[in-house]
Amino acid sequence: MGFSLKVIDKVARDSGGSDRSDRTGDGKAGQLGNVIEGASQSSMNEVLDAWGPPSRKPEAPATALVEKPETQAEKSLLKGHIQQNERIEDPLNTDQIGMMALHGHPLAQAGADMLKTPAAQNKVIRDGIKRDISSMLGDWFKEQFQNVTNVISGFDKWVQANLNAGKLKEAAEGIKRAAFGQHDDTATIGSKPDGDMANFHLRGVESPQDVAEYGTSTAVGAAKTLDAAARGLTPRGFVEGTHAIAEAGRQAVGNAGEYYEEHGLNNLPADTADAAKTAYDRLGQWSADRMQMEPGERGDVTGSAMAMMFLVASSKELLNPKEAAKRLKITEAELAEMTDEELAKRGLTKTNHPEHLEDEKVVKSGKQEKPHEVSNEALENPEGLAKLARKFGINMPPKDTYVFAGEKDAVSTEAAAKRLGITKAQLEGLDESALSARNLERVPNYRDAFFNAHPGLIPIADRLIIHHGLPKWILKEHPGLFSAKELNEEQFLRGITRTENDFVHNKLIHNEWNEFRLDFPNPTREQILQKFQSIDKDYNKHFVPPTGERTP
Amino acid sequence: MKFHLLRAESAGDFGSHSIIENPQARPLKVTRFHYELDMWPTDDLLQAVGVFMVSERLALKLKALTPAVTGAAFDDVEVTTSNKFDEWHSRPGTETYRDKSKLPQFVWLKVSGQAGLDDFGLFNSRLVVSDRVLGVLKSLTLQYCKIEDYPAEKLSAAG
Repeated sequence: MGFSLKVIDKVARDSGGSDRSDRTGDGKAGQLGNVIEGASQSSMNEVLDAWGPPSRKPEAPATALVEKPETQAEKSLLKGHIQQNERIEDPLNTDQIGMMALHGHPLAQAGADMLKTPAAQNKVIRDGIKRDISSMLGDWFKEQFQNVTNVISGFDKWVQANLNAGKLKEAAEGIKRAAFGQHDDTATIGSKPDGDMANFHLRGVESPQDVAEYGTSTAVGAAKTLDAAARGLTPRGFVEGTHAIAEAGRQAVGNAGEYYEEHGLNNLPADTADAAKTAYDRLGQWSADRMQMEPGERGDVTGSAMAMMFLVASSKELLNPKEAAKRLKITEAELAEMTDEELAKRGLTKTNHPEHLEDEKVVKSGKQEKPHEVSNEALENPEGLAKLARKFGINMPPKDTYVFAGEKDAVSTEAAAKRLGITKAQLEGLDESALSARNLERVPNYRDAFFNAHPGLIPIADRLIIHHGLPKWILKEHPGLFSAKELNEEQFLRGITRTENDFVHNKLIHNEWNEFRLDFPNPTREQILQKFQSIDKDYNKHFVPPTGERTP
Repeated sequence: MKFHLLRAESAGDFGSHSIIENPQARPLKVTRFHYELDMWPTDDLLQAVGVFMVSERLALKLKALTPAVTGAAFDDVEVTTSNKFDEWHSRPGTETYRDKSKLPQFVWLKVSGQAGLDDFGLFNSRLVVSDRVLGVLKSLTLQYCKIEDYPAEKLSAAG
């Protein structure tokens, strides 16, 4: 409990809140004391604004240096041990109890009322009230960290059922609230009365390691959420949603990282490190190969990954270049000239600190980054979109492929030309009747065709698996019933997220068609189309985009 | 004895080396079985349009039953993976990556018995098994197999 209280104190201190009798304050001194006097729900928002999220640490140079753990381990161990023992029951001050009261906690409200009574003007009684209320509210604060994990764990599933573009922003806000331990009963996520959220079992927060793990869960959850939320969004919506959630994840992890660092955990346990690495990899992937953003865009997404890196590194000592130069007894200029190898010999590793991203722009690239709008516009620009599509192996317009009669798989122009014993140019010059005479059809690459028809999905192309709604075995087993061109038409193509593909397509839909084949050894076109429509109806919600009105 | 009709998992299709007498016949008459996996199989019992294969571990369990199972024999099946399978499972580092060397070995389950009488039989190309065989199947993985009671009134139509 003690560590929770310490963070509450830190949050309040960062926000500048103060109480006349407990400590001297800054410009906001007395605000909360007034709130207690006039405690009401209407003033809650104002107080929460005053409270706000923990402030960021003071700006520091872009590049930080980490002293190697082997040179620091002993000191850290001792420091951590001392910190653990120093974390004793720090009673909340009146400000903090007041904030909790306004936050809707009945114990805090009771405590605030008690502190206003004449008896509470006696210091002994007043301290006793604060101590008791603190003890109980410490558990409340602990719960807020539990909420981070619970919200994120449930969120992925919740998104599957409920999320649409319009709710994305609210969802991100919900993560932010959870990340900062703020509890808001009116938040969309937390207040969801039904569905998976209600079933999540609360886990106890027993140690700083737990908190670090919650940060990790948050980052993983944020990445998962992006996967799930991506469906059906426009490029702009996707980019904005990504920023919102990645930023929330970054804040959550950063918050956990600070917390973790503050409480001096010395070695990241292997399983936590693995989880952190997974989260880092996922978020890094978003930055590296999904978004294909301009540098300015990348910053926010990378920020999540960087925050995770911070978490991993937080058991080490971070030094800014000035401090590192001083430690090595050299100038900053000399430090800047040192190679990684030379640094390693002196027990230092160059790293990037998430708090320093702003500076990194200048130090690393030496030029101003482009604003976000540039990337957004690029996504809505045909050339920009085609460029992005190429990154995912999508051709705009679709590339031609060829299907030989009685076969189910399409082959490339080169392969088809080779089989026919003609040149690629000759094949490309053949019209449909000439192709038909040679028993083959020219069809657009089905994946290209799908994304050309749904350019808004290109930014998440690597998260979608495109399937033929009319299975390709039809071409082989029932030649002439459908043309290859028909099977590859966009109206018969279906996208399924990678997350759902294994179950929805690989198992359910595949098995349904197998049953159909057993029951209809000689199906008609109509029977096949009816089955296709029935699958569309049953699995519509799993398709991206949903297909209801597209069914022929 | 109770019997059960199974709608077994399909994780692929016939490969090009299969020899099928008449693709439009039901049940299919297959003289050479080549199963091309399109996806990672989950269950120990798989099918392609009413032709079955079982994992080696399941085959061993079935062969160990006493008295010996009736209505089925075991034979070799060629199992390969399709382009679709490779696209989905072969990229290390992706969440769907699977080590192909960990695929189980499979054995062709050649069903010849009469549904409702033998341990293994076919009804409308669906596998019908005895209670004791179902017990063995359930002792391993049977996640995507739909199991229905095999109705007595259909005994006369079996086989």
